[in-house]
This record gives sequence, structure tokens and C-alpha cells, in this order.
Amino acid sequence: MRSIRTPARAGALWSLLAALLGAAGPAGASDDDALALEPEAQAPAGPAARPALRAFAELTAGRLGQRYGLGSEDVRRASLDLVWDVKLGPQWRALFSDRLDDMHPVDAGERSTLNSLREAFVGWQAEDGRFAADLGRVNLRYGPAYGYNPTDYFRDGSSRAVTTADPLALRENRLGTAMLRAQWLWQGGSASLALAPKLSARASRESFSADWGATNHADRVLLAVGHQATDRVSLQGFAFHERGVGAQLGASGTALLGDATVAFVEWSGGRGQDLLAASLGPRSRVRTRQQAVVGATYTTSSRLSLTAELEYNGFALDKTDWRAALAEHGLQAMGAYLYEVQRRQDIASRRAAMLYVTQKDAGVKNLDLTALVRFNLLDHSRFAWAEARYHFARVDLALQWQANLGGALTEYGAQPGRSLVQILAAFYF
Amino acid sequence: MNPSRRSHLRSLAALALPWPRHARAQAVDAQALLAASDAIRNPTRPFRATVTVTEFEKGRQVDSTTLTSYARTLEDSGQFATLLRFDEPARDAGKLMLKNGKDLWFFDPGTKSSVRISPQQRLMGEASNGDVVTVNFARDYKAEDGGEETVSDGERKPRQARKLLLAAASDDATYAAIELWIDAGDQRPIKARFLADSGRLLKTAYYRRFQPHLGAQRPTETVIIDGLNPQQVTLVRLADIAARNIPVTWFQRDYLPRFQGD
Repeated sequence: MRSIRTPARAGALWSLLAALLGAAGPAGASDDDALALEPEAQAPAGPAARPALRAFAELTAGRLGQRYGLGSEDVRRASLDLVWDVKLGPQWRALFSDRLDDMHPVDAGERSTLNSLREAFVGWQAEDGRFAADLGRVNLRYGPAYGYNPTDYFRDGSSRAVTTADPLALRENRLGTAMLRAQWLWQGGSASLALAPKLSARASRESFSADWGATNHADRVLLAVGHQATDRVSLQGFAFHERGVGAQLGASGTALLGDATVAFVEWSGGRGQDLLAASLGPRSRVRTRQQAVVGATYTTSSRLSLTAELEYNGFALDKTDWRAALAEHGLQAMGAYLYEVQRRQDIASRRAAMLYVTQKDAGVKNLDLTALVRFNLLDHSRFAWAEARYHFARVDLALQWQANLGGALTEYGAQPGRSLVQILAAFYF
Repeated sequence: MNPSRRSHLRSLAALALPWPRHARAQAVDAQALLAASDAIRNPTRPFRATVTVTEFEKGRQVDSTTLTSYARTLEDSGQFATLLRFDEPARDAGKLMLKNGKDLWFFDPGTKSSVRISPQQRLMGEASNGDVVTVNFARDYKAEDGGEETVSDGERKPRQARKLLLAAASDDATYAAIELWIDAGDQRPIKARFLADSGRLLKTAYYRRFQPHLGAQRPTETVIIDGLNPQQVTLVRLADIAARNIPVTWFQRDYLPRFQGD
């Protein structure tokens, strides 16, 4: 049995001071003041019904600085984001999730208006909570890492419109995959089987296409098993197969270290497409490689969170490959490679790292600061992004800045966009 | 042997008894009082409640969050597990927090990501995650009797109270120690002071606005005053407390994307 600890000297002094101020025993003056406080709005009578519809709109306007003598140009975007999550009965659910992005300017041949039908499925679950099934387009996402998720097996082709560099926010317009999914749950664990058939071979750039080809371009099956080892450690295991490519095994884990640090690890290994071959032409080259991420998030008592992660992608180019490919195929082909990497939500270099920092209530209540830096550890180029966001009751205002930094022939230094400054307003309905 | 002499011998025998036995008997009594106080704060059945968290700074309201809480005890731990759904503000609607001991998860339906968070990671301004979830103190703390004294309650009225001194007894305990005042007559919680390892006061809580819910008079409002800055005050108000059949399988990371609630 642990007894109440003898206070340290500083603690004793503090207790004495607190006692003098009247914090102990009878309520002091400050306690009386606190006990007299009342909320501005009284809670409504009766339980609040869960709103079936959630929606928000976003407007951005900014200035993009470019390389290769392209000068700078104004950019703007308007987005409407809807989620309709309705209970059809005690055990039935229907979910419709959609986002419309209108972006200007866009590259030649691209559509400025893109609709993303993110989810549309019907779900059923047993009354005892031990079995559930879903049918339709489901956004099934795995992986505890922040910037790169090797165990997120349905990630490739899932982003129609890239509207932000924030890896967490980027997932907001990610497309789900059409599938039949069954899940068995027990206390402290679950097993899930997802069957995703091929529906179309090609992705569509049409504005209002459901774009089944982006997410269901091959027959795929994923078995996932989750286990809560202790209340500080959780584990997941995966077996994935894609017709025409092969199988991958994966695992991930999270662990609470102390009261302020969460560590995470993610690994996937097996058959997959070589990224350079996939970007250069229709003939793919399947290889056996590993992908992994290890990282940790540390949070201070003042609400500063710092996440650092190391990333490895065996399907991506290493330093020698990058130079050889540049010499053989030229800079334009490397642009296609980087586009393919982005489409697959992969990382372009064999080894990379990311730092992600957030400060909630940064000096001013409701002001959040967020920043990230992505590092290519092979060519030392960097991508930096920062945001200051203020929350009003139903409106967010943000100032965002981002920059690609590095030498002319590096991953980030070769990007046409040098820097971007923009303001954002989000309206929540 | 005459009665008087027998009595003296009993007294001597009592004095000769090893001290820990006396302490143990006292601890059991304090622990029972703590459990009785827990039973007033928390329903024994699985339940849902609307939780409104209002933050004040220097007497001015600066933030308000409304959540729906689903809580039940789990058989293997005996502790409450709590699933919280954010309802207000609108930007956070639908987000979830799961707390099962030190197992803490945050789920964002927008990104579909479940992120493990540390106990230090606060999701609601100055209110700690532990302030808005249901906790049985008797499971995580060992209680000793601190005697009777008069304290001012949440309605600023003097109350005859029994003071319990709680020491962390499990890894799941959020605080190193708690001083808890409960009503000397009916074990209703009145006030608590939460202390760090160093003995520093972290926060003071007053339990008030007792109302009949699920078979007992229970506190529906907790006023939490920051220990370092008493100008920072959080009101945690419970409403619409109702029994619910909540399966144990809900309280895990893999269920969060499925959760709808009422």
C-alpha cells in the first residue's frame, strides 16, 4: 500500500501558502467566487439529439510563388463538406459522406471542380456488440503513424483533391473503398475481414465521377486483428492480398510511456509495385520490400505536442537510384514519379522523417499553432508547413504558410511550387 | 478475577496489539466510506449522460463544450470505462474520446483516424480528460480516515464532514493523493483536493446540485478550481442521466469508427 507521500519542501511551502490563502478547509474567497459562477446559456431540457447532418464550408485565398521562371500567382479554393450519418433502426446505420472542392488555378487538363464521394454504405451490428458488417464505400483506415502509414492498405488513389499539406487534414477528403466488411468484436480485441472487388481499371478525372477506378482498381482482401495487450499497449496485425501483385503482412503497435509520451510503430512487408516503374509506364514491376515507421508524441502540461517519426519505404528510390533515374529519364519523369508517390500517399525517398508540432491555446485562448517539417533524409530537401488558427464559435480563421526547400535536383527543391501563403476561413453549420 | 482488573488487562492487551492491526481496521472503515461515496457519485448500472463543460477565466466564460457520455464498469478491472462523444462546438461534433484506465483514444470521424493520447494530452482547454469521465476512487486509491471537521460545501454552507485521505494505489490513479470530504451522515461527496507527488495542490473540486438519478441522490455539478490559478474555473454539469445497455465491446479502439450513440 502506498501512503500519502510526505510533501517535498517546495510542496510544503505551497501547501502552507495555500492554507494561508484559505484554499484548505472552509471555502476561501476565491472558492466562493468560483462557486458563484453560472454558464451563460442554460442546457436545454432533455437529451440533445445527435445531429444526423454535419457540414462545413471552407474558403481559401493565397499567393503561390513558383520556380522555373513561372513567377507567382493567386490561388483560391472553395470547399463544401457534408456527412449524413443516420440511424435506420436500433441496429442499422446509413452513412453518406461527400466533399466538393473548387480550386483555381489547376494544371492543364485537370478539372477545377472535383467531387469526392468519400463514403456511402449501410451498416448493421448485433445488439450485443459482438458482430458488425458494412456494405458500400467505406473509408477503412489503419495505422497509428502521422505522416506515412504502411498498414493503411487502401490508401493508394484515395485522394482526388489535395487541398492541404497537413497530413492529418489531408485525410478529410480521402475516398473510401467499395467493400463488404465483417467485424467480430470481443472485450479487448477484434478481427475484421474486408473484401474489395475490382470495379474499374482506371481512375477518373471527371468532376462528379464516383471514381471507383481510383479505389477499386484490383481485387483486394484485408484481414485485420486488433489486440489490447494491456491498457498501455495495443497491437494490430494484418494480412493483405492484391490480385496481380501479391500478399503483404503487416503489424502496428502503440505504447504509452509514462503519462506524457505515446510511442508507435508500423511495419508492412511483402509484394508491391516498384514506384519508379509504376510512374514511368503501364508495365509494372512487382518486388518484395519492407515499409516501416517508428515515432513518438510527447505532450507537455501546457498543451504543446511534439511528434517525431522516422519513415522507411523499400519501394521508393534510394540516393543512387534517384541520381541514376534522373540521368536516364530526366526531370520531367521525376515529376511523374513524385506525382505517383503522392497518388499512392507514399514517401518518395527510401528514408524520410517528419516533425509535427501543435500548441493549443497558444498564449491566447482558442488560438492553435501547428507546424510540420518533412525531411528527405537522402537528399536533405525539406517541406515545411505552418498554420495559426483561431476558433470562433462557428468560424475558424487561419493563416497558412508552406515552402519546398532544397537543391534544384532534390525531391522538394525540384517542386514547381516554391512557397504558398494563404488565409482560410471555415464555417461550421 | 474481578471485573475491574479484567478490564485493565483488556486495555493492556489492546495496547500490546501490534499497531498495524489497528491501522488496518481503520483503513477498511475508510475504504468502505470511500466506496459508499463512489456509489453516490456514480450509478452502478451502465448509463449515458449529457455533460456540459464550461470554462471560466477571471470570472468570464471563455469556452463551453457539450458531450454525451456512455459509461459502465468493466468486469476485469472493476473500473469505469467511458466513451465521450463531442456534440458542441460544431467543429468538434462527432469526435470521440475513449478512456479505459490509461488506455485513452481520440477518434476524428473526418479523418477516420484513431490516435492514442497520453493522460497529459488535454482535449478540452483547462479541463483534464479525467474531469469529465466517470471514476471509482475506491478502485484506484487507498483511503485513511482523516477525522471529522466542518467544511464549506458547494452551496457555500457549513457541513459536518468526514475527511478521507486517499493515496494512489494503482497505476491507473491520476493523482498521487486526494483529500476527500464526505458528508458525515450520508457519505455524499462534498469537496476534494487533488494533490501532485510533491504535495502541490492541482485542483479543488466541489460536488453539488444533488438530484435523484438512477435510484440515488447524485451530484449533477462539479466545480473545479485550478490549484495554481484559482481564477481558472471549470463547471462540469451532468444532465439527462439514463440507464443504457452498453456492450463491453464498445470500449476499444476498433469500435470507435462504428460508434453512433443516441
